[in-house]
Amino acid sequence: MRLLPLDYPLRNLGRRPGRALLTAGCSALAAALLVGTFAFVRGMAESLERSAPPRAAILMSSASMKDMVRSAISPAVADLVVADVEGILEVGGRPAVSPEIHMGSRIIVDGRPHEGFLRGVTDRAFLVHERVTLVEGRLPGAGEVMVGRLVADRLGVTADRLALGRVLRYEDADHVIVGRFAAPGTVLESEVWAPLVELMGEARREDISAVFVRVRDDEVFADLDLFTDRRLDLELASMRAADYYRELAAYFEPLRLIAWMMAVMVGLAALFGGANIMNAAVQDRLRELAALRALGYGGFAIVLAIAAEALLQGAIGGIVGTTAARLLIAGSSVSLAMQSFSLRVDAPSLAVGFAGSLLLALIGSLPAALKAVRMNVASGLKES
Amino acid sequence: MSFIELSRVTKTYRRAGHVVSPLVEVDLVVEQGEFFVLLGPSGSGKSTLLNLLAGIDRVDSGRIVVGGRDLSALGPGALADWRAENVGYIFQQHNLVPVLTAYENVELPLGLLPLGRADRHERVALALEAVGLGDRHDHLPRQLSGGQEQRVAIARAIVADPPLLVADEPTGNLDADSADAVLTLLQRINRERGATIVMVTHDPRAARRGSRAMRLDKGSLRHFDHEEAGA
Repeated sequence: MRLLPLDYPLRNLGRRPGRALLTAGCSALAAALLVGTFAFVRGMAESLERSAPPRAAILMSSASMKDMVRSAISPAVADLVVADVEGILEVGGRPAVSPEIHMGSRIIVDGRPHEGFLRGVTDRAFLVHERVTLVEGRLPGAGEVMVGRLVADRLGVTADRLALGRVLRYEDADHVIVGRFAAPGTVLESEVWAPLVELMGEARREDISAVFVRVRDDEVFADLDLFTDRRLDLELASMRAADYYRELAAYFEPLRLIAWMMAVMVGLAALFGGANIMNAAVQDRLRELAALRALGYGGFAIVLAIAAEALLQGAIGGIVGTTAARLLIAGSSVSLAMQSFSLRVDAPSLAVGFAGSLLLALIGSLPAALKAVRMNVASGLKES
Repeated sequence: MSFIELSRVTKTYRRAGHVVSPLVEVDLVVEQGEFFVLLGPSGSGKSTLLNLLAGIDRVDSGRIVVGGRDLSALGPGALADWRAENVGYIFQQHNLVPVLTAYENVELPLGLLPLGRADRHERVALALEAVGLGDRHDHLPRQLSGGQEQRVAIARAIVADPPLLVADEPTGNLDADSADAVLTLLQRINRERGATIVMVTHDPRAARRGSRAMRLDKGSLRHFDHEEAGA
């Protein structure tokens, strides 16, 4: 195959540095936006899906329409299910069953109210939610809470306002922060966890929201269904935790679509901008390209040189854009409804951004490359 | 022995909505090793004729045979291959690639031939030496004078040692001294390498450097008499 020297596309970038920078800038913008969008979409979907404990079911009220916040069931369900259903997983000799309250509440930090999410738990919660780890402080007792790592983002306050020893006020009572927990890649990190019994009292509830149950194998899910069918007096419904969080993720599908649509629109703007600049660059060089054709270089060599030039600009833009995205977006989180989740700026997100900028650059170069190939060589030699 | 044969060649194209016929049933024979000069006023079709016999453009009707090869029978790819091996093209505006050095510009045609790096280096060095620019390998076109740029373009045209050199107004953009040097160089290449040269010019004085000249006017060729033209 007879190709133009490899240096040719590289050195062409130096002909009009301003133009090359502009093209690379378009690519950088597209790359950064793609990283951001991908990190947002994956962070949202995966954080919800990962929040489900492995091989677990949620027992909640059959009248709650699969909404744990609206659900109200008897606190006795936790013991009843252990007594009636065999095959419940035991962790450290204790059944992995966690009775919980899930509720939204107005949380006051330094006198300013914020909407937050509370989860009332017992120490058994750690048997079920195995991703949760106490990273600082201790488990809360009466009048105390522990907070997830993303609670500050969720409430829109600085992290120092939720340091250990600081006070949160909700349900007309003050609560000292005594612990901080991590639950990487889950929405649990945006929650405030309080002792179950105390939260029931403060919220004037005699019921709980749900019971999380981990099972030894999948066949036990049928036993749980049987349990809820048999105990009509408890008005229970059983649902696999994975299904619950998957449905919750589906709730945000329109947001995901909007995010992708915005990415596509900005991508198209970058594509047209890049194509326009590339077209102008080729227009300036028509005579030179015609001369190369006259020397005997074929259309494929010309297309490849133009594509390589565009890819180089796309690669430069891609590196700048993904680096900028990594610096600016990584570690940040987004709050939606009652949940917060981290943007997942990881290798796949960066790869999507970089590959996207290359692809846009390549597609953007095609009209210019076609123009160069379809040009009549004799006419091209007369170009001024 | 004839090297180029044009038989009843006609070329028509459209310009600003009008049909222009610069060549109408043109016949021409150029002998091997000849330095043939084609004269004519602007727009007379000189460059069109040059492009046709260099395999850059195609005839509407008629036949062009160069070195025993019927160009009208070749497809675009085969024609590009044929050009790479058989034609050295010297343009009026030299058309050097501005981002490549003199050496790299001259090396361009060799990239189309099955040659090793050492062979390429030897040929490029010889070609640049032949045009008197052996010490300008690493210069970019913008670092050279107009005459030097045209000599680099000539080196590029001869580096693959093609049997046919076509030159389209090679002195058109040069001052008198540079033009004289370029024409002398072409004569030497013709004499020493035995390459057949077809040169287009509108300058009767430049035409005197060729072994034969013809004038193209109103679509047809006729003999050019230097004495008559007063050149």
